[in-house]
Amino acid sequence: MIDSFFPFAATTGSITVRVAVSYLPEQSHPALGRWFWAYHVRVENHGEDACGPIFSFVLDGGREQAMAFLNALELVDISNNIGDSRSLCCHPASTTHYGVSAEVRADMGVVEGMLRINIGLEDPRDLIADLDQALTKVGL
Amino acid sequence: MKKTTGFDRSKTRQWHPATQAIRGGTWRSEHGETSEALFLTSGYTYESAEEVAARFAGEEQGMTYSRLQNPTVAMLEERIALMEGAEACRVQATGMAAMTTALLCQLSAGDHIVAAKAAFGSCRWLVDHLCPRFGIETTVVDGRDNDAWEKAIKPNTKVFFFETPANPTMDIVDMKHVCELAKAHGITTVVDNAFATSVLQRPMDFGADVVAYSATKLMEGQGRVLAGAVCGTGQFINEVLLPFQRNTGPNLSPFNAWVVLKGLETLDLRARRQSENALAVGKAIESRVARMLHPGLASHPQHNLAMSQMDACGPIFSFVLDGGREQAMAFLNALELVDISNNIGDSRSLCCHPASTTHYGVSAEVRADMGVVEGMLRINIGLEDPRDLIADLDQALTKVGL
Repeated sequence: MIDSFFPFAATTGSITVRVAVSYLPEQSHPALGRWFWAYHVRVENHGEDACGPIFSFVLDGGREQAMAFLNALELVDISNNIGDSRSLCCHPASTTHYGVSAEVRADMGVVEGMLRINIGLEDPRDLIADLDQALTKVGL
Repeated sequence: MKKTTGFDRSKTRQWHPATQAIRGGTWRSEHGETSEALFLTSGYTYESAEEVAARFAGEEQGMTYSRLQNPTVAMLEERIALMEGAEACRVQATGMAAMTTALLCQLSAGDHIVAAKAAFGSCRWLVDHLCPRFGIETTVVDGRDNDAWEKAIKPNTKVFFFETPANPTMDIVDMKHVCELAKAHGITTVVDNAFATSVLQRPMDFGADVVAYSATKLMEGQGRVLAGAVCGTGQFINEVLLPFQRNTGPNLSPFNAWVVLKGLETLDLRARRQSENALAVGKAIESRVARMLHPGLASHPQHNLAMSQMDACGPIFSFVLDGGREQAMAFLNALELVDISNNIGDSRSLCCHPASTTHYGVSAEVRADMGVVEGMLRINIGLEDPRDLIADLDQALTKVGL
């Protein structure tokens, strides 16, 4: 599956996401499950061409664990942009949604343990290895 | 990734090529910019007279002049070296600057060079006209003939030079055989890999010593800037090529280096998709032309060799119409979507008549000898939908009676 990904950015990013999803089964990282799967299932059900390069996930350890995860990344950049050819990860509560009150953030579901990631054009094996080591470092 | 991770080979050498193409060589400034910075500067300034003296003396790290070093250019050089699996790379202003630098930096009067006869017109000019003016002996051989390479070797043979696939005849050189032969005789092999790039073909895996590029082609890939590159061992690049480059100045502009850096981010995707498109288009028109020269098709006499050296066939192929120059030109004029253009590797489909363009500077006799016949057309297949390309070629072939 990984070896046969040649199409364009949007499609490739989506395939990468799927690879990541299949590589990190829900049971191995229970804290990750919700957002991965919710989004994935929704896309599948709607029969869209592809899921796009962006997804979010929640760590149970809140802001502290989310930030430790970001600091543990070695390949993926800590960056609050999306859609780039590089993989970028950020903590929405303290960046993109910093200007939204804590109440409104909670109401829209932007919890403290949430991380948002943009998957780029790097080889997905390198990205998975990086996320894997960062998750391990924060005890997941 | 940290600001300088892109230059940390203990990490970047572990990455797969697609990752190296996006992140290899990236050196972020104190601003932490996502995309590589464009350092449009000719020179550098210093905090003290001692500092600049120390830099010139090589006692202190740091840049001194953009003919010698430039941050944006250095990022591109490191990225290309990583992708090629080479120890080092230097970039030049054009593909021909790269070829000239790769050859002249190591050749002197009294040396002998053996080159494949099927080559880009300007490469043939280098071998046939420039080298002899400086006392460098030259022999051209049929690059497909393994024995011919061996027979051409003389005691003073210093360099083997070829491109594979060759422009525009699509001749394939057996790289493993020819590189091994060269090694056994202490000869340096210089391979022009512009038709494939490291994504589709890695000549060093077959024993090549030096890989040279027109980065204008697939690497940049979107018809914007000219660029060249030479990859080799650290010893060759730093001790043989660099003194030549620093003192003669065929350097790449930082702006063009930056554009190529952006192009490399999508090279893997483009090279593979354009190869798929080229295969689809080649199959569709094969039965309509007198002769198809397409490394991805079984009709190519060296198809198996080509596919054993390349991951995919690349975006370029040639074909011959029986009606000679007149029919070839009529075909070009009948195209409605594909451009008449003598470039290759572009994301757009481009078609040209080599005998009157890329190989105009080569004498009619030499053209005939290398197989560049009057009815030959060379096409670069881009990223357009292959159905639209096939429809355009179909109507143009019909218009010229085929």
